[in-house]
Amino acid sequence: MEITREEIVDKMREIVGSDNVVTDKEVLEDATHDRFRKYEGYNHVFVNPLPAAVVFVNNKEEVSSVLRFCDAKKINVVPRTGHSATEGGLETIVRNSIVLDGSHMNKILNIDAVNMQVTAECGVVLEDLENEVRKQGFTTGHSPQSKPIAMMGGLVATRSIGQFSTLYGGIEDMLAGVETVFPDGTICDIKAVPRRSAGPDIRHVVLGNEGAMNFITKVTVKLWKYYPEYQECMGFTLDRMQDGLKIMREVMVEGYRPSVARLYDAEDGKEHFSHFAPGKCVIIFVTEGPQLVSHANAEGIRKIMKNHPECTPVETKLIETWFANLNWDAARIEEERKEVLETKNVCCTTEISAPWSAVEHIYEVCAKRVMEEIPDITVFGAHASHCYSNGINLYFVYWYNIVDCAPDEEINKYHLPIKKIICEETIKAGGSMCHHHGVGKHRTHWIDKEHGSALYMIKKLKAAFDPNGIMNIGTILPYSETKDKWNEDK
Amino acid sequence: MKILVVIYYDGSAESVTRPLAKLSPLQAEMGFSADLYVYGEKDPDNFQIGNFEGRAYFQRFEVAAAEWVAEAVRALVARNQYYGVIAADQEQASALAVLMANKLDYDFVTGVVSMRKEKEGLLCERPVYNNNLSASYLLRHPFVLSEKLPKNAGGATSLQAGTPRNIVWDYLEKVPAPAWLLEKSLIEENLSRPESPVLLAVGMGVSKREDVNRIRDFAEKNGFDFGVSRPVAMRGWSGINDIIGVSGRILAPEITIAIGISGAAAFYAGIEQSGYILSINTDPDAAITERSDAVIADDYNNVLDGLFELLSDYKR
Amino acid sequence: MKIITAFKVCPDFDKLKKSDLTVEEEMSVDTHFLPNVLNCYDESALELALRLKEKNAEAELSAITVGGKREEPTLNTLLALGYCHAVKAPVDEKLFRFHPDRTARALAAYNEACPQDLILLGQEAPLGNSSAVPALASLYTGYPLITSVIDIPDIREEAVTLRAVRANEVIEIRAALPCVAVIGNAVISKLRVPTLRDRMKSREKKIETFQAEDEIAGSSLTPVKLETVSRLRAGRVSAQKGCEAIMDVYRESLKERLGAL
Repeated sequence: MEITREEIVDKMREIVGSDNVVTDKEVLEDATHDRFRKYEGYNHVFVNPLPAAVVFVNNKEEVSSVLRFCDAKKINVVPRTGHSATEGGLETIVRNSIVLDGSHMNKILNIDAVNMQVTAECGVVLEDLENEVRKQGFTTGHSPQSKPIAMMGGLVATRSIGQFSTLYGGIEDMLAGVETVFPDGTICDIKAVPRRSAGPDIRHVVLGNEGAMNFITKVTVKLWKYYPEYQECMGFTLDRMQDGLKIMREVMVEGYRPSVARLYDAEDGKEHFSHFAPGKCVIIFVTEGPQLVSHANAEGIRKIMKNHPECTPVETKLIETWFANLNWDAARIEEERKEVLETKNVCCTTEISAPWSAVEHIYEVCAKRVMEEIPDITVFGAHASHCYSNGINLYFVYWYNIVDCAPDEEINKYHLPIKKIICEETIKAGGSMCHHHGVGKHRTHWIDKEHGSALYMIKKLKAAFDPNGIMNIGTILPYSETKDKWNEDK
Repeated sequence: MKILVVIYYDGSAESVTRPLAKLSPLQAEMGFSADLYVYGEKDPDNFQIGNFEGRAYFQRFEVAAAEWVAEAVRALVARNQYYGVIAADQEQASALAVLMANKLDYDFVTGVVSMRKEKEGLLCERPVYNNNLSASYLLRHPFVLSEKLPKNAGGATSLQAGTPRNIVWDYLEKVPAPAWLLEKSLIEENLSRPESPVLLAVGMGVSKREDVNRIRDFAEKNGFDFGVSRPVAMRGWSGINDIIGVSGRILAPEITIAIGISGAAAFYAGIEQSGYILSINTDPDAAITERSDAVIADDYNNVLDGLFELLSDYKR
Repeated sequence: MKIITAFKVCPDFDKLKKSDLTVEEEMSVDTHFLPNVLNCYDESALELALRLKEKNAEAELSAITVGGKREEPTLNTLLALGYCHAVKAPVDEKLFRFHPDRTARALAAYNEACPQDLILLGQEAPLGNSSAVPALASLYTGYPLITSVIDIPDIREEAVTLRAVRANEVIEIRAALPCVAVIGNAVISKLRVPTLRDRMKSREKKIETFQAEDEIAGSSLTPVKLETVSRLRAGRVSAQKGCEAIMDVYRESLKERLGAL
C-alpha cells in the first residue's frame, strides 16, 4: 500500500525533530520549483505537485536515516542547499516528494593553512566561506554570480564554475575531498589528497550528480593565496563578436592565464556597458596572483591586444565599477520579481561549451534561428566567460516579453523552444549543451544526443547508486520513456 | 529683520507646530523675527505654541494649488517688508518656492538642509548628485527658499519654551478652486504616522516580505517608527508613504536601527540626522558601516529575536 | 491629444562604492565610470504615458530630454515602444546641471513649437536634485501644475484624471487640459520593454534634435561651492554575531541611548 503523506511527515519528524520539518503551504509551494520557473513563481502559479515536506537535516546521520527510509518506501528525494538552481533541478515532479535541505549544516569546519584546504559543511554559503578564508589571506578562487546565495553542496552537485575560472578552474579543479550519502544510507567520505591513482576518480560520481545519485554533506576545497593588490584589469571594445572569439583563443593558446577572460557581444553588452560602449562588443581580462605572475600575464595579454587594432582600450575604472556590481544576491532577485511582474519581460539563459572550431558557427546559427522562430524577443545576446586551451563557453542571454500567455505556459512558448534551438545546434556542432548549470529537468530532452554512446555510463551509474530511482526523479535522465515533444528523434 | 514662514495645514496641529519648532530656534539664532502664513483646505483648530511673537495669517483654499498659494503670498509680501520667505517642508514646498520667487522676482534655493547667516546673505546648503555631494549657495535678501532642515537644526531653543498661548489667526480671504480643477475627491486618508525617537528602517537586504511585515508589526506594536528604502516600497512590500530618503521622509530620530540597508546616499539622507545609528548588514564593506555608530555584521535573521526582546523593554 | 514626457538619464549612484566622487576644478565631477540609469520618477512617467495611450488610441506620445549622449539608447527604446517623437535637446551639462530654469525654458520652447496637452515630468532628478524644473516648466508654459502625482487613471480630450498625494491623503483630481503633472512615488515604476522586432521596425524613426539655447540669463543661482560630504561616524563593528552581538552593542553604546529617551 502506498505510504501516505502524513506517514511520511511523521517519519521525518521522528528522524530530524518537528522543528526541522516544514509543511507550511507557502514554503511547500516555493519548494516545488527553482529559478527555471521563476515567472510562474512570481505569479504564484505552481504546476508541480507539492512535496510532503521540506526537511532540514543537521548532520550526516540524519541524511542517512532519511534516505534509507525514502529508499525503502520509494519516496522521491530532492536534495537542496542554496535554492539558486536554474535548470529545474530542484523541481518536485512527483507527488509527496521530500525536499531534503542541507542549509542548516552551515559550519566551516577547518581552514588548513598548511595544506591549503578548507573543509565546510554543505550548507555554507560560498560568500561566507570566501570572506572567512580572506581573513587569513586566502581565496577559494570560486566566484559564480550566485556567490552570495549559493551553498557548497549545490555548487559541487551542479559542477559549478566561477568568474575566475580561467585561472583557478571550475569546481572540479578545486574539490579535494567530499563526503556524501547514498540512497541506501551509506555514508562515503572521499579523503582530500593532492592526487591519486587508486582506481577511477570517484569524486566524479559526486561532482555533478545534481542530487540524482547522492546527497553531499561536506566538501573540502583548495585554497590559494589572495593577492588583490596585484590584480590588473584590462578592457577593450571591438565591433565583432567573431573577432573577439579569435582573440580569446589566441590568449589561451599562447599560454596566458588571466583569472577573468570575458567577451560580451553588443546585445548582451547593452545591459552592462552602454555608458561607454554602446553597440560594441567588450572584452575584459583580469590577471591576479603573485605580483610577477599577474604582471607577466597582463603584459603578455597587452602585447597580444596591441596587435589587434580593431580593439580599443577601455579605462580600467569603468571595468572595475562594473565588476564590483556583478553578483546576484537576494535583494537583486527581489528587484527582478517586481520588474518582471510589472513589465512581463523575463530574462533567461542557456550556457554551452564549444571547441574553438565550432563556437562562431554556434553563435551565429543560434542568434539567427531564435530571431526567426521565436516571437516577442527583446534581447538575444551572448557572452563568453570561461576559456580553455581547447575551447570556450557561450552564455546565451535572452529576454522576451510574455504576450497572451498564462504563466504556466511561458516555458513552453518561449524558454524551452529557445533552449531547444541552442542545445540542438550546439550538440550538432560538436559542443556540449550544458557548460555549468547542470542538466536539471529541462535539458533531459537532449541528454541522449549530449552523451551519445556514453549515455550507457550515466545510466549504469544511476542504476548502481540509485537502483530504486528515488533520488531527484527526472534530473539528468528523463522521468519517462514516453514520447518527448522536445526531442524529435524519440 | 523679518521673514515669512509659509506652512501647509493638513488639519493637524502638528503640521504647523512641527515645522515651527524646527525653524523658530534657527531664526532666533540668525537674528530674524518671523510672521507665519498658514494655508490649507481645512479650517484650523485652536492650538497652542510658545515662543512665537509674530503675526499668524491663515488662508483657506478650496484647493491649495501651488500657483494660487504663491499668488496669495505675493499679495501678502507686497503689503509687508520681509527679508525673505521660507516654505516649510511638505510635498509642494519646492514648487511653491519656485513660484513665489518668480512672482516676487526674488532669488530662490530649494531643498535647503542647512543655512547660516553671512555678511552678504544666507549661505544655504542642499544635497545634489543624489545626496552624494553638497552644494552651497549664497542667497541674498530678499529671498525665497524651501527647507528640508533636520529636526534639530536650531539647537537648544525650544518652541515649547515660553508661555504657551493660542494662536490668534489673522484670517485672509478664502480662495476658490482654480477654474482648471474640474473635480476633486478623497481616495485615502490618515497616511501619516506619529514620529517616534526610535526608527526601524528596512532596506533591500531584508529578503522576505514576511520579514518586512514582522519588523513593521513590531515597530507599530511598540510605538516605534518604521520606514523603508525606496526599492523596498517599489517592490510592493511596503507603502509608498513608508519611504525614507530624498524621495520620502527626512527624519531625525534619536536612534535608528537600519536593517539590511546598504547606505546609499539617497536613502541615507533620510536618517543622516539620527542621534545614533545601529546597522545590521551582512556586508561589512557596505557604505552604511562607516556611516553608523555601531554595526552588527551578520544576517538579520540571526539578530532580530534578540533585538526585539531588548527593544520591547523600551516600548513607547 | 498630445502628451509629452520629459526625462533624464543619469549616472547610477547606487553603483558607487563608498566615496568615488571627487570635486575637481571649476566644480566639475567625473561620473563617466558609472553606468547610466533612467531617472526613477521619469521612468514611471514614461510608462504612465504608454498606459494612457492604451486607454486613448488618439493620444500622440512624445518624449524629450535636455541632455547629452547618454540619453540616446533610451530615446531609441521609446521610439520602439511607440512614442511618435523622441526629442533630444543637446546642451552642455555643466551649464544646465544647477540651472533648472534653463532646462525648463528648453522644455517650454519645445512646447511653444509643438504645443502639448499634457506635460509629464518626474519630481526631481540628479544632478541638481532641485525639484524646481516642473514648477518652472509650468511657469514658462503657463500650464497649471499638479504635484506629487502617483497615478493617472484616465485622459479624455478635455481633461485628465490624476491621483496625487497631499500630506496624509491621496486625492483624485480631474483637471482641464493643458496642464503639467509632476510624477512622484508612483505605483508603476518600470518601463516596459520593446521586442527586437519592434526595434527593427522603428529603425526608420529618427531621434529629433531640438536646439535649446545654451546661454540664457536665468533666475536660478549658481552654487558658490560644491563638496563631498563626510558622513563618517564611529563605525564600530561588533566582533560578535547573533544575539551576542546585540548584547555587545547594547552594553557598549545602545543602552545609554535608549536610557536617555
